Amino acid sequence: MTKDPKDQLTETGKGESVPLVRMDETGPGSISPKGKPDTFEPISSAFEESRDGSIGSFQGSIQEKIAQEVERKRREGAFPPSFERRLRDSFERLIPQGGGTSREDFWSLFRSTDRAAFMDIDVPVASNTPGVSKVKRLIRSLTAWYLNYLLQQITNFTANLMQLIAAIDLRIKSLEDRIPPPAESIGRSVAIPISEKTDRFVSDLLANSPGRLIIADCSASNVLSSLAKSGADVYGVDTDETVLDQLQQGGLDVRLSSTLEELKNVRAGSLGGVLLQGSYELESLSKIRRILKSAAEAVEVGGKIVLITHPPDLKLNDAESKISIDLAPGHLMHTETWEELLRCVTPKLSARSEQGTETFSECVIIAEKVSDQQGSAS
Amino acid sequence: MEIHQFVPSFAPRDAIGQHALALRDLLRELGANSEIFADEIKPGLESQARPYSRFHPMPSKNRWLIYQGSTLSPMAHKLSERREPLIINYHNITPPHLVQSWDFGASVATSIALDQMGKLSTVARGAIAVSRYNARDLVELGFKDPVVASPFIPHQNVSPRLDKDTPRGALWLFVGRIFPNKAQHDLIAALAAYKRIFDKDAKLILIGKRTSERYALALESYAEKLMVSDSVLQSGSVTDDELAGYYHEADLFVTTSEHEGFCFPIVEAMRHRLPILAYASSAIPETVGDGGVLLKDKSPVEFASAAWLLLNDSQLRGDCYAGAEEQLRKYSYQSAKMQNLSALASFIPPLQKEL
Repeated sequence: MTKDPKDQLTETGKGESVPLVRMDETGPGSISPKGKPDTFEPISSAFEESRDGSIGSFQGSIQEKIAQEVERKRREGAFPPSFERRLRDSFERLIPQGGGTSREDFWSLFRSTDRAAFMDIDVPVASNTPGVSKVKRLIRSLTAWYLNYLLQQITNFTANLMQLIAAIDLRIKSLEDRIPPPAESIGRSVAIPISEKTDRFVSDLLANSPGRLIIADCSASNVLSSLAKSGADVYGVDTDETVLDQLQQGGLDVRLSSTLEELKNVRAGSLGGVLLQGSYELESLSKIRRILKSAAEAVEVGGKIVLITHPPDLKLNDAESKISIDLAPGHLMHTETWEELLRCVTPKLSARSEQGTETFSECVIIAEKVSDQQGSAS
Repeated sequence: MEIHQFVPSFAPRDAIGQHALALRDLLRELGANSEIFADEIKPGLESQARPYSRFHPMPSKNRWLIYQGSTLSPMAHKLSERREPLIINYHNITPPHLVQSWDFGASVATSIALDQMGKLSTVARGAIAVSRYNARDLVELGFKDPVVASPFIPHQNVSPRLDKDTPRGALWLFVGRIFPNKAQHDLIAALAAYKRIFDKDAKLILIGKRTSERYALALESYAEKLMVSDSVLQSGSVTDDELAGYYHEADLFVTTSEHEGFCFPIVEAMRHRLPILAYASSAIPETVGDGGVLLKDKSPVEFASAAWLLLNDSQLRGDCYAGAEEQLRKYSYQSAKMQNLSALASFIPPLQKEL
């Protein structure tokens, strides 16, 4: 087996003069070439400490205290659900798009690059040392023919390069024009009503889950409130600030965040379960895949991902819902497609579906995260 | 025996400059002819270093070169062409992506600096990193067997602060240049949360040179938007005495830096017996050890809650001080001396008799 290059590191003496041992010669904790026991700490574990932020038992016990304090303040309503989001957004608006991601910044960057592409052959010849200035001038005039020749070629190259970048920008712009705007920019959010029966079924399903639960688009159903009442460790996320304020006043732990954003921010394997409901099923396919992948990463082995879905032939009566669904970036999908998607996204999920209710024909798909071995076997 | 060091920018009170000076003195104690050569020598240090352009043009058999790598420098290329054995002492280079949005030029420079360092891996006799995090970076840059040796941290005579709970009017202190990779904006967000939830009289002092004016101005705007501008002070650079005064007056040392190759101010805070609260990025967990509280993410509310606990739980602070004592022993002059000597001896045979 090839040794990981990260394990090839060595630490020098700790307080005493000790012979240096390389890990590729003797390995940690072994005997050094001079026969003296190697007293170095295993390097790999310390690296984990520094690289991924995982920390030891002393720090671990403090983390628990901090988490309890945060929880207490959240439940006390010491800050609104949108508080952290507002703090983050306020700074994001100040970040310059130096990489040229917006059109204005792109052209500003383009112009400065264009200016920088011009090269000056007129080398400065000033000097504080007497006579050196004359020597420099002489060298400049003697080498001018040579530099001119090179400069012409460089200028020709940079001019072509800038032209090429401008042409690429035109092609990108024409591609951008063909892409439909996302639903958010149309100004509509999609929420298909969820029946009470499904509401109860899902609440019962998740009530005894070990570990923390996240309820996505929590204003779409009463699952959050039912689970909180039953004593589950649960919080909800939603992008509707007004609804969140009301839910918080009712003593619920809620946060202003999109489903994807929240799932990406939680530590891998730290959740007991995730309920996906509401607008996610009308997102674009690529976003749905990202949501499912993030959910699969966020739940622990044995944790559940529960999806409430609606079939493509869903009949709706109110005009608002019809328009929202028509203008959504994605479309409703069959249960089989959802199951296939879950399988594609990660083999660590084992999915089954429950039949829907008479009113809305909803379907509840339950996926459970299995261990690596089970995942590869299936 | 000649062992010379090469420092891109030799500046007073700079961590790398101080390390180079201490190493030079140690090498001279051991009988080596040792000088510091630099691309840029800041005023006041002319007697301690010489311009690189005055370095011997001809190679010598009994000479070793140590490059203190931390930034883009034309010396890197020149040193790679010398015949003498070259040893890299790596202090880390800021990853370009952390500064790209704010300073495109700086991101290009750090990108080239990383490339330079990678090229040195093919010619260097060996490499020494000041932290395990840095050693891992060196491996990624192509160095085969980097060795870890703590940096020399200048000794200071400090009188430790008196420990006390701080339920009101806490003073948070950050020390380091104002630059995007230090992420001082996260500290401002955390302070806003702390003021709202725990202590409306709390304040934050950011000490350090405004290396990125654009970012420094954004910090001011951000503090205004969050309505905490009266509680956030950017002091700029300060003298040694002023800095010691700030360490003494502060109640909490804070950092949310995204990238540190070592982080000297943490050790300074430990010497002043100042509680430490830090985001666990890059080399920070190594430097802090159990001498402070580490956070795995930057949630402003979590940071504020941790600050509140640390400032009002004397038992927790006591545990941290005990951990800090341990770290200070680890980073003592004697320990750094043994580690650096042992590391250098593996690349410079005449030094082996000194072990």
